[in-house]
Amino acid sequence: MIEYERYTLNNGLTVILHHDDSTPLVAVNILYKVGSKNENPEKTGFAHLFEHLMFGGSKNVSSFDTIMQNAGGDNNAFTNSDLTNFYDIMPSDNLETALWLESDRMMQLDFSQKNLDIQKKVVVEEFKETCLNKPYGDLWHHLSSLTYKTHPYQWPTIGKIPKHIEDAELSDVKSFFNNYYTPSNAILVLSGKFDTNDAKRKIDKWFGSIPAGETFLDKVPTEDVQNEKRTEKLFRNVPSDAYYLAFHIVDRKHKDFATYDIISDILSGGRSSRFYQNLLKGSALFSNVSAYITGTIDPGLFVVEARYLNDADVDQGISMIWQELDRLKLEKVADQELQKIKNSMISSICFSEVSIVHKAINLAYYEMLGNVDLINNQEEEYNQVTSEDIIRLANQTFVESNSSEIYYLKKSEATEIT
Amino acid sequence: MLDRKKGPPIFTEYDLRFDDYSSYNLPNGIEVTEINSGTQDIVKVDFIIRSGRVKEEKIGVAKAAIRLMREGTSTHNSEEIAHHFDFYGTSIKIIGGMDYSSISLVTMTRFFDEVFDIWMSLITDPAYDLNELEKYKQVQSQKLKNQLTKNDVLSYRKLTEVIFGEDHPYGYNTEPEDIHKISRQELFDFHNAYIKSRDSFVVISGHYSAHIKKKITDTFSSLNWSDTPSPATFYKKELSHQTIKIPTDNTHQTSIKIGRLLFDCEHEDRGDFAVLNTVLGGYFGSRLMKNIREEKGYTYGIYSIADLWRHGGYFYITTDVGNQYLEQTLEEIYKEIDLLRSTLIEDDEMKMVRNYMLGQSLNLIDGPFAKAQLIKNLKIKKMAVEDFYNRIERIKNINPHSIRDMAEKYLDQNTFTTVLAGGNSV
Repeated sequence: MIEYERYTLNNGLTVILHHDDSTPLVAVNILYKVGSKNENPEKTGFAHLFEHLMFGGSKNVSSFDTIMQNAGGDNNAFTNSDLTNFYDIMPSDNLETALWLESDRMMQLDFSQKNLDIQKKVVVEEFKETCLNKPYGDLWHHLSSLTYKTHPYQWPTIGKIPKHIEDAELSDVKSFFNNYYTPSNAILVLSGKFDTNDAKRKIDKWFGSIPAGETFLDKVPTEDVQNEKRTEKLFRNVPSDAYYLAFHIVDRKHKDFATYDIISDILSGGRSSRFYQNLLKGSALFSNVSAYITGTIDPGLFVVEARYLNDADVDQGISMIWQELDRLKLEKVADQELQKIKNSMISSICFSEVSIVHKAINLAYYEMLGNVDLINNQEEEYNQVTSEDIIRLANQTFVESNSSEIYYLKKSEATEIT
Repeated sequence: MLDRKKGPPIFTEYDLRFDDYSSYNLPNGIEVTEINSGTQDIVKVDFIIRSGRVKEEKIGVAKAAIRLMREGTSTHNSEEIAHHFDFYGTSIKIIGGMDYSSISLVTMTRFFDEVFDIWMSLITDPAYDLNELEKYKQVQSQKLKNQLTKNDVLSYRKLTEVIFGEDHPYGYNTEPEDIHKISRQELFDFHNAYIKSRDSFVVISGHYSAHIKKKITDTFSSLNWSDTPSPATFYKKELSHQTIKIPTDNTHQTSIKIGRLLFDCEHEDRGDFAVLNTVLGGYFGSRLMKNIREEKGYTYGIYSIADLWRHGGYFYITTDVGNQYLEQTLEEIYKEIDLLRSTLIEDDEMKMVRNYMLGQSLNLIDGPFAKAQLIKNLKIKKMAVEDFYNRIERIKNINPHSIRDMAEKYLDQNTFTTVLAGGNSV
């Protein structure tokens, strides 16, 4: 159970305070409700590039990092398709320094051509390092565009191509900042050691005078229902064959979300899971096989990933994967197996509450979903899932017409085929 | 009117001392440390042996002996064990390192009685079933093959091999064939000699009852183990100076590793060198990161690292850069190193690094699990919490001259080995 206090400043900034005296630190987390799904299809990768620019100085702070480090703090940020999140971990005495730094860059970022030029290069190198220069690195570029045809989840957060990043201009930076980095489009969370009244006073002091601004959100196009199987074959210089299978599922707020999460755990949560025991250990085909949900705010994906052992028969592996998916449609999951998954979920929620940063990020995320209270309802939501729910959703979801598959094969086989 | 130009005052006096732990020896010689001060009803039990790769007689045996402990005992097979722990939401963490290995139990305290005995039997009674060993060979050798297609893995392996030598456990590399050569008997031999060892220790952390404590200490007290055979003496490598290029198929970037042999974890220069390393490449505000990423944009990240173990240590710089920036990056790295050797670090930067390192040290004592990790890391090196306090004092008192001395002593380009893997190195 995470206790918190929530309120809103006059300029629209949502504030959530979670006090935890057992730590000498405080985490300051700011979530901006903008991600790669808000991008122009011709200028992808921009939300993430912008995250980098937020460290380039603001009106009254020439170097964010220098001050942060002088205050003994550390910080980082991440961007995904739905949101951009910044967090600082400070010695609790220096909470106010983080509030100063974060408020100044929310109020007025320093738009510098030099900073933009350098960070474009850094992000292009990041693109190469994470997507182009390692085996299977471009998988999500292909899987996103195969599964989504109209929704902007069709490109990964890093961007479609490096050129989109290289082409970014200072005018894009300005309008993006002015539209999305407003107080009313942000959520501030404090988690850790602080004096509540003192913290409130300081938050008001640094954030209260930031002009409200206005955020215009373009309607994000919805994805049409998929009605035929999609297949893509890639031949690459990779050490072993891989196979990916994705199905469309519900959005994050849908009541069936917890059931999908449980299904993915039945298949691949831990060493007792069905994939691990029946596929990885039960055959000599795989070096790794897993299932997970993407957990995006708009309707997401249920993904199965398989890495093969050398020279294993890919099709045989696929039919074993389908056997496990089909089994979920017919056979009731035993009470004990379902209880096992629920116990694991409850344990991992409890383990995650050890970290103040984790709690801060989660509080901001649930607030963005529309109800921060959900953070304390997770256990309940998972407990309500029944084996009938699982059968119903498996039948509805794991069908060919709702599937997209990628064969990611060793190059040598391409030459054999052609 | 709020003056935004002027930030709030910064406080730099952090209380890094803690006393909510106790250490004692069981009658049979096994040491126990307890940190019972958590807020969540979770207990973590670490069992640590001061043996790892340094003790193995054949490549890959130590890691396999540790990792296969969870794959079956004389009374429960691998699948039953997996089901049991998963049913109780319990996680088992296994580390097979160079100088040490560990197996840890993390569970909600209400399930402790259901899981502790089986966890204990993984330590005392592994079956090393042949089928499990076969599966391990199959999967691990394939995973290793996958790793061997990455530039930074290839450059790292080559660097440590050159620095320590192909005969040294810190230097040699496991090949997929080596994994296939491991035998069941070798696993039992390693287990008998090194896992069942009086030279091991237990760390209990979290928020737990007297009953849990008693059960753990009673169980470990009942073990009748002997001393671990003393470690082999290792051939000390001479410093080498060379550049090695590894062509790969990943041609978009080049992975750079530049490094040298350093000293072991007990060496008197370790504290000062740690500060020098932080200045050079140990944090986001480091000189390498500021110059090569934040001013030039040649890379997504560049770091320097000093790894000090019981039988030796090494220092290296690591980055992946666009091929067109390779030459300039090398030039800038050497420029930064020369600057540290020739010029005293300015007071502002000295202060910043000191504040950063002290502030970050709070993370090491943030709650019972962090403290357990800190004590575990100290005890592996046969050190105590007092050594941590000494390190903190050194950070508080270090001056620019000591940093320059360290750079002069250890950062001579003629003692560096450079490895380049990837696009531009063909």
